[in-house]
Amino acid sequence: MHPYIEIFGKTVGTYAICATVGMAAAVFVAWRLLKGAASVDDVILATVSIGIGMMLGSHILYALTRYELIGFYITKIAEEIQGGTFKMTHLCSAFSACFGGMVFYGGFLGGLAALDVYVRIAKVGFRSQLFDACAVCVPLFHGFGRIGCFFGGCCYGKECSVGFIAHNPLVPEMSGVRRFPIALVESTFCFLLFFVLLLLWRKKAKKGGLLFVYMLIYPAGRFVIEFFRGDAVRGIFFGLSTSQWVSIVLFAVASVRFALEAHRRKATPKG
Amino acid sequence: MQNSGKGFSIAGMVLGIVATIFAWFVWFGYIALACGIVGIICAAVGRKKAAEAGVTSGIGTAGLVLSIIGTTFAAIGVICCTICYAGACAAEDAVNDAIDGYNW
Repeated sequence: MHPYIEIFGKTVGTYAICATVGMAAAVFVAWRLLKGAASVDDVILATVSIGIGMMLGSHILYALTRYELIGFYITKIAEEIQGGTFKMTHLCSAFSACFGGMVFYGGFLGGLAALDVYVRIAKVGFRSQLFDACAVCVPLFHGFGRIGCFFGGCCYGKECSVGFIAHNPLVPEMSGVRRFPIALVESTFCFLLFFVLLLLWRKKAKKGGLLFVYMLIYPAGRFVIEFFRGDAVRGIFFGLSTSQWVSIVLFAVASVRFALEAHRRKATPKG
Repeated sequence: MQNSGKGFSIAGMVLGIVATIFAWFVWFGYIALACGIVGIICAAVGRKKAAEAGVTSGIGTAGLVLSIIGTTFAAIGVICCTICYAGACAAEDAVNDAIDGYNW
């Protein structure tokens, strides 16, 4: 694992570089897809909205998986305030401990919510195209992000006879063991999904519903991938991880949407 | 007379310059990120208004480019800090470890 690399004497996180490349690629593809319907400024404003929503959503969902820690720190800080020993640095430490990480699904849902807010505020006339383009670009960005996860060592995979021997100075517990490269598997899955959705866009299939196609395919894959992750810090509830529960909900929403669409098509008389 | 968004464009450029400079200093990462994001919004809105008014906005374009550069560098720095912590927490039972080893 290489969580950091040196560029011109500055230490830079490999995850950050991969995420930036992914974001640039996603914006470029979105701009190409929306050419004619939206200007480059519209695409940039939509991207900024999604970016803000992603950052907030991913950190908030991460914090929710660590609810025990939040409760613990709230109690400690309340005791400190009562005892008169409160320090601002303690609050900062508690905040970074609770909100320091990111969860993909939080970013996805936060990004969608922010995009919806942007669409309503800016009153854009290409709403369905924007959400379709978003569906195509999310797996592209995510694919690069997972390569960053592989280098960062945050999603390290289960112990396995095949795979890579991981060495991560930040996480000594995971080092020196051969682990299944689950981040790379998920990255490949995301890139394949990107090409499938791009093909559907090009064929104008499922117009206005590509986001639901994404919500049908990705959660199914993610549900299986979660069993090979190995890191339990994201929270396990009733035997399933947070991401698996979110996957179930998203898959159900998309299934209901397509079932209703099929029912409506059947009910509408042809001609 | 239609508003050509010059004020937005200038604000975008100023914030873009601030973001690009501050992005190089680790401790100002979040300030640079905030300035960059607001700069992108201002510059993009300025460019849109200029396009609607039928004029070109060189200042808006410069502001947009600078803000994007500043935001990108600041985001790399900020995510670098975030991922460091996330990596450290990814070890199993990290929550319990954090509570057991609680020490400001």
